[in-house]
Amino acid sequence: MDAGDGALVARVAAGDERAFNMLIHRHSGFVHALALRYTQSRADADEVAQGVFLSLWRAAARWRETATLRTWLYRVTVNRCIDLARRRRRWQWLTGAPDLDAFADEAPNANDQITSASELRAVRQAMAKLPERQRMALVLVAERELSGSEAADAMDITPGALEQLLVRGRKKLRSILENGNG
Amino acid sequence: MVENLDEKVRAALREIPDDPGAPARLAVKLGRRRSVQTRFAIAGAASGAGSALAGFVVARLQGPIEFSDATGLGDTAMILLLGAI
Repeated sequence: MDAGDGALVARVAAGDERAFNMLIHRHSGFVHALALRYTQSRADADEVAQGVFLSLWRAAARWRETATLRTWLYRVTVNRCIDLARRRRRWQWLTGAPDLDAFADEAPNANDQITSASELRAVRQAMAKLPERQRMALVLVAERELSGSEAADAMDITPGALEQLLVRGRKKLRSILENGNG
Repeated sequence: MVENLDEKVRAALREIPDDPGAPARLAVKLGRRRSVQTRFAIAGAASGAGSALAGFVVARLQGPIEFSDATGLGDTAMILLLGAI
């Protein structure tokens, strides 16, 4: 039988690299997938995921099983994604440089119909313009399909605050798609 | 009026392909970063300064450090240090 997350974290706290690798293989799929959908960049998703698991390595000795490891990893991933997006936004503001890594610039999938592909690309580009926390709320609920309470837990906010973020995020996204601005 | 917004968000993000190689790649990168950071910390403690940053300087004086290994220790500080050494 597989060791539970709590037992593996305890082994990580004692410096057990094999336990750490088991946790990486067990959980990095959803961590990387969330970061990839949020940042729309494989390089940024790698950076976020590395940071999340380095946090786990450092925090293992202090980690207490008050929440599931999955919930803890979601929270750290959310915070690191938002921090990275804010750094990127500041950097772009300072330099005026476009984000060259974004998937939004990639060629559409050949199997897609042209109109559909261009529309979906426009949605991704519009999402990249949303305020960081609104974008994260939409990604968690619409794409990751977390329930309201799970998504609120991942963002460490109340379900009511999440709902407000979703309402504002959808409104702004519509505005960007329809008018080209927020 | 944009119809079915959530559905479009879901479809747009699902067009981004999953990355099945990510766990293995992360395990390798994290192994290297932990190794280098441990080396910094040990070198820092040995130098009496007791910090990974001081450790970086000591470790750098002992031999070359691949820049990508150093990210996560304070990128700006690393860039400044690499420029100075």
